[in-house]
Amino acid sequence: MPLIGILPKPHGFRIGRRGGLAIVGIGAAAALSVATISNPWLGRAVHQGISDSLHGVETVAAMLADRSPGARPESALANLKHKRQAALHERGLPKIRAPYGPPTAYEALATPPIAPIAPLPQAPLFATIAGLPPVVPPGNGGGAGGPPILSNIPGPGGGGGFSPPGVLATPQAPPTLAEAVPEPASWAMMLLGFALMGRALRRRGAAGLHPASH
Amino acid sequence: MRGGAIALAGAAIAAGTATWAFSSSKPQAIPAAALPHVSSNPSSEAQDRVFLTRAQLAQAVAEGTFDRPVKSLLSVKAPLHFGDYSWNDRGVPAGATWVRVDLHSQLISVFRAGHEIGTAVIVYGADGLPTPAGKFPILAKLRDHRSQTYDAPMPYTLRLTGDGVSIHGSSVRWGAATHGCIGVPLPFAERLFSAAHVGDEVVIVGSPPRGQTS
Repeated sequence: MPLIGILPKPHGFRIGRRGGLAIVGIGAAAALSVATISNPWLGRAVHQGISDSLHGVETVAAMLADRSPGARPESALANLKHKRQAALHERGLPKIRAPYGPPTAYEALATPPIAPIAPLPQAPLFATIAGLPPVVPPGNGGGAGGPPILSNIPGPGGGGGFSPPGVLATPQAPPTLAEAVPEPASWAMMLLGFALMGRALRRRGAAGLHPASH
Repeated sequence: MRGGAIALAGAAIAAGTATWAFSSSKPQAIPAAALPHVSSNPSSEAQDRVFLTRAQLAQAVAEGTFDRPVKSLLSVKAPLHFGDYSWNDRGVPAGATWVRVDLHSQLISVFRAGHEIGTAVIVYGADGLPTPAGKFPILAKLRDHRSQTYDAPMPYTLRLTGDGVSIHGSSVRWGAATHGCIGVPLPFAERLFSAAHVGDEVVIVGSPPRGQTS
């Protein structure tokens, strides 16, 4: 106890070992009080320490913090557990082209404008009375060579068909096939093949140009 | 030059197709044995839980840790790891059940009659899809729920909000985040599902703003 050694000893009063400890304790408390009052940060820290201990008892916040794995780091924020399946039933299809291209000038000329549908004639269309010539409705037959149903006389184009009067069947141009577009996998395969071919050619050329050296 | 651009585009398309094909595969189901680690032990009740003093509770309420009386906490000796949980309701009487979720410490606590009966490490929403803070009554219980939005199993779901935020069983691992739900270990979710009822309150304590350390 060097502190006790430097303290003056009054006559007739002897400071014992316990008294010295008490003086040290009082001095430390006074110094801590002065420091706490003069320094607010230290004061907060001391208060926090005291409140945390609660006379030796752990606080609830400290207990919860002890069992926690810690706050989540920034790096964890990019790792989502499940990817959103918004496009679950939508697949990335290749570009869809129309099966028929725009009408060419020939088709535009050959296709007359569609006339409005005229009212049906009042006369019976299917006159099957004996002795009367069969009535053939005007208009081209739509059927492709089917057997005549209403008449014994085969109509133009095979007959057997029926179309309302005034409506002309538009000649259908042969469908133009859509231009073939390679699939991405085909692209990848082609590029891979080119790369392998180039590599093989380079190897072969290098072997020819540079004979085995010593 | 143009050929190179086409080649690059083809390679990019092929890579994108491969990525899409890889990502569109079905997510893996949650393994049945999802890292359970029960730290409850059959020792005496005094060792299983810590009964709070009046001063501790007053301080916890003053700090905002609790908003209602809590009598005891589970005694968790060591920090919980991801996938760990502790459940012990032995000797706890029947009573009101509520759940506290602390996003900052990544912990969930289940209370019954003022006593903590379970705690676990959670995963929660990423920054772009944050888990909402506040008080939410349990709206519905869905035992074998499968999300159509994410095409993922979400067993033992406790629905909290109308837009789908829930507590459900999940693979709790480091570095994971959710789209706003609260993921808990599967065995813990099963116990919580049994203990909680529709209407019970879930208090979610929000995470402090980024950059602050508290």
